[in-house]
Amino acid sequence: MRFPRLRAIIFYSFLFATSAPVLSLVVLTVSAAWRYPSLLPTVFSWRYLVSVLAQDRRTAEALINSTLIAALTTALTLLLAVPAAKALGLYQFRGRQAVKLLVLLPLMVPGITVTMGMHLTLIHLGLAGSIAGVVVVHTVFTLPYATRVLINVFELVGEKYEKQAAMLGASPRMILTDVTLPMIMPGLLSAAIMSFIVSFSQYITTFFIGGGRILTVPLLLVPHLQSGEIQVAAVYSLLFIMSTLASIALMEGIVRKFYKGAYFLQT
Amino acid sequence: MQEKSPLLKSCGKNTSCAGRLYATWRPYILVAPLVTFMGLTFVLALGSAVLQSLGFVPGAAANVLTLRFYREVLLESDFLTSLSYTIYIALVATLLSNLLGVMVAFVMLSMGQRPKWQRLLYQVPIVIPHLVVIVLVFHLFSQTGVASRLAYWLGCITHPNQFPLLVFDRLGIGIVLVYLYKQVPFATMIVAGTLENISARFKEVAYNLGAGRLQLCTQILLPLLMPTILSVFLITFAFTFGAFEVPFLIGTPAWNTLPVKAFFYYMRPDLTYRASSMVINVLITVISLGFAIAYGHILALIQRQTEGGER
Repeated sequence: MRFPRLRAIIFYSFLFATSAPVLSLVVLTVSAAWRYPSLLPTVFSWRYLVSVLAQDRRTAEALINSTLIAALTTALTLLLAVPAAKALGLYQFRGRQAVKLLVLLPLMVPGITVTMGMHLTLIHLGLAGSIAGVVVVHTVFTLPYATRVLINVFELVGEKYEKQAAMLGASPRMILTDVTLPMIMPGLLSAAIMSFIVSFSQYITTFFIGGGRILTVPLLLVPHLQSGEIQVAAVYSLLFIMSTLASIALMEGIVRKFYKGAYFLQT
Repeated sequence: MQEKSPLLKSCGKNTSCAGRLYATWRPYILVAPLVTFMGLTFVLALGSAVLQSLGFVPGAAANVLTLRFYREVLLESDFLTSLSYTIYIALVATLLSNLLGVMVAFVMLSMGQRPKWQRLLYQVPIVIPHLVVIVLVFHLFSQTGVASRLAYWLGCITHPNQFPLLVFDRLGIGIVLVYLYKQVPFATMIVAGTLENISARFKEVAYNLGAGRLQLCTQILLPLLMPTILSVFLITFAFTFGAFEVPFLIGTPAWNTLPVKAFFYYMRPDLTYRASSMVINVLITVISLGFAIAYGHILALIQRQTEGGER
């Protein structure tokens, strides 16, 4: 292809468009006043950061709830998705396509339909307004992503190493901890990260099923967005991004610590 | 660990009896928890939505099987407005993000392997939630936002009121901007992955057989890329069509997308409106699934054609 300069312009403006808004968000969190035509804040201050992060007690509550819900959702998702993905990725059986379709369907059906449809059931089960109820609903939306990634991993890894280990006399537990888990760890990690992010970002599902009793970071953010308090919303946004990144780093760190020798880390 | 069940062990070396039985049932045992969970949540939710749309709303006055609510919702004057507004936003956002995504993917391919920090940088929007992107768009494109200030300094406008309304606007520009920020990098990431793969396999062959650059792109890369582009198109379309938060938070107050309409019906104190809400929910689900089925057919058609071409 010719036009090297044009290509560079396209590519770098793309990079700029993806990253510059995040930088402007950071600037917004430390601006106390930003009068109209000025391109930079007229008064810089920590005021919004301090009042939201340190003085508002609900921030800590929301952050703890968000993290707890996302962690539980991730755990439940993996618990359900790993065995199923193994079956879907390795074995041919009647009904396989139907199960695959069932798992991926929540990607096609509007989230609000599923949430409203589940609302009544969860009220009857006494799960509405509880962390458990919110976790269950979030899991419906994280399962398609996690299962899809894990199916690919199992298809790639196959069953031969497990069979070989069994033949060499490894116990089922050893096969699980020393063969299967290290082999699928990269996929497990990305499935976990995706589930965590999807759960962390949920707003309307938590709003409905939490019934106003479960406060998470998105639920704190939205009212400020609606009332136009853009600086406060920006502080919550930054908190949001930072805690997501921290959780990803933590998950990666744990995996690296326990699977130091696993083959994928060298690749 | 489900690798070796007690069944298999009891069979000893002669694995033909229970071992075979277990091998047949193993996949079902493995998928059982997931299927049970999805049945009790997702399937039940859809069933409940359909039942409520037919008038079975617990706590509401009359519980008789009726299509009344479908008739009422479909005959409402603003239903068609909402439907076309929803389709319009989903189409514009999806077409633009796919077009730009494919373009950037091709540009990236021609520029060679990009350094890791650049690849990480362009994928930032994928992990940023829509709510935060709404904050960004609000900050950048509202009438007193950064874009408006830039326009002021460039001498294009002298007062914020003169800056075009890009947030809460009737054309849904603010909504589309949010989706573009999220979906262009997503489309780029998926398409670039496939494109690198295809290009590595067919570039040399095509050149050897005398193809030009343009021919390589239009005759080989684009057709082979079609299934990927279609998948991305479908995923982003289904998402934008059924999305609630973005049109709810920065959409125009003049009219609502269908999911937002369903939400407002559901929140009314009179429970009979829940039936109307569920009617809309069932309709958007049917439309989304209709797209998915159409996609399956188109994909099969394309794959048959490319296979035919290879022979």
